[in-house]
Amino acid sequence: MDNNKPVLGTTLFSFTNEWLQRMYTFDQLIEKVAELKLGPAVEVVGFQSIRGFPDVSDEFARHFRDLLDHHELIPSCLGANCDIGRRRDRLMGEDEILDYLGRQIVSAKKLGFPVMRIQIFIGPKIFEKIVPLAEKAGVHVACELHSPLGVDHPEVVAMRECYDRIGSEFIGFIPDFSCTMTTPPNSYWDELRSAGASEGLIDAAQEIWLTDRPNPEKYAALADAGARFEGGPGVIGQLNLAMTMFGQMPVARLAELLPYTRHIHGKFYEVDASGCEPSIPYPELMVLLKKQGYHGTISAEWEGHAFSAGTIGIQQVQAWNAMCTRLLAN
Amino acid sequence: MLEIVSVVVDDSLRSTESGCEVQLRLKWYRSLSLSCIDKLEVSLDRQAVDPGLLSLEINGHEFKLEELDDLVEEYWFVQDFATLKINQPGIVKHGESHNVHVTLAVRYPYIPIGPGRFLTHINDYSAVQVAH
Repeated sequence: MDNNKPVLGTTLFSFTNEWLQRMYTFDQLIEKVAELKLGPAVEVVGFQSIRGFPDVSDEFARHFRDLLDHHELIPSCLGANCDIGRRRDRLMGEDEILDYLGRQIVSAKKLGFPVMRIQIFIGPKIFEKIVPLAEKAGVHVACELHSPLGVDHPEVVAMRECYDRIGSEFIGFIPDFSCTMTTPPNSYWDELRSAGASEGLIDAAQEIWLTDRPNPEKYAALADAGARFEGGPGVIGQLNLAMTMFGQMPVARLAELLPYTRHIHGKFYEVDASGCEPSIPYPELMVLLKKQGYHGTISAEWEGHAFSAGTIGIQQVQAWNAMCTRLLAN
Repeated sequence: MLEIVSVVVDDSLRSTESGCEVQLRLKWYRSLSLSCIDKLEVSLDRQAVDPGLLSLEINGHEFKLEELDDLVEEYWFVQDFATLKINQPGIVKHGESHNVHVTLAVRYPYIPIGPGRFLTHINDYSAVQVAH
């Protein structure tokens, strides 16, 4: 393994369609990653892949570690979730949140994951209290930066200030390439076409997405376009989604987040026949990571399953891996 | 989204001694606690079924709908089927065709969309099934 480059890998989340169709067992997916050389780094969403999560039995932990060792794979990141809204009548209190995340930190440690992903909404106040749990377990707890977040988003600014103040390497960020897109993906537009959107509406929406305006103005412009091109309410809802799912942060700004970065989500929607992701500037991103000396892990994270039922996650991750390997060469 | 899974499994309607049952899938990419079920409603042949007659069998337990709100540590594993039962003997007979309409609304407890509000998806299934 080359220590001077980002370490490629896969999140099993990319195989969501195959998983939901019950085409493979957990072990078989890990074996696929090994067989097709989609590692060495392996990421898992706890609540997707592990029965009994947020807790993990000793037996499963042992089995998981043995399986990865056997295939010369390394655990990169455990996807955790804070289910603060699990009760209809009230939110989780602070103690409950810390307990819930604490269980997942213990699970991450048992499974051998050096990093655990959480969501940023828990905020700096609670995050500060997680630090001792993270340090004690030796697990880096990091907030995923998914669209619509970006370097200048108030929640991200607040977390950066928190990290700077605490100064622990056991907390940080997981940037997701959904923040640095150049256009919404083709599969997204295709789904809108199936829902009845006309080409005129799609063109108008694409133009609106590209403009540099606050989201409320974009929603208003989309509503206008919807009325002009007769898109129904379902279509307008989907169009609004584009403004939050597909972020436009310039690639260069990612450099500011790298000192806090513990792992990266290599989000993608499609690698086409020419070996390119048309909606995300992978060449620029890989140049930046090499230039900034990022040697951590990146997971291939195929999210095409949000718009398509095709069980093509494995094939797409293969294409991603080939693309990134090519871009990182020399 | 997630069109790969149907809320009600096709061809799963069964006539039983206690009434009838169908198989459900959680139409999401990750497991959720049963307390995240915001709504579970059933109509048979366009007649709403009294919620008091419904129960959900999962993880080796059978729960009445009114119990679900408190089941914060009982998880519906995302690959698993749950059995939705209508407990009214004779409601469906073997070989009969019935329109089965199930509405399953699920709250995603880790996706806040406003103060105290969470992304909720309403899944509707409506199809004719022949009872086995």
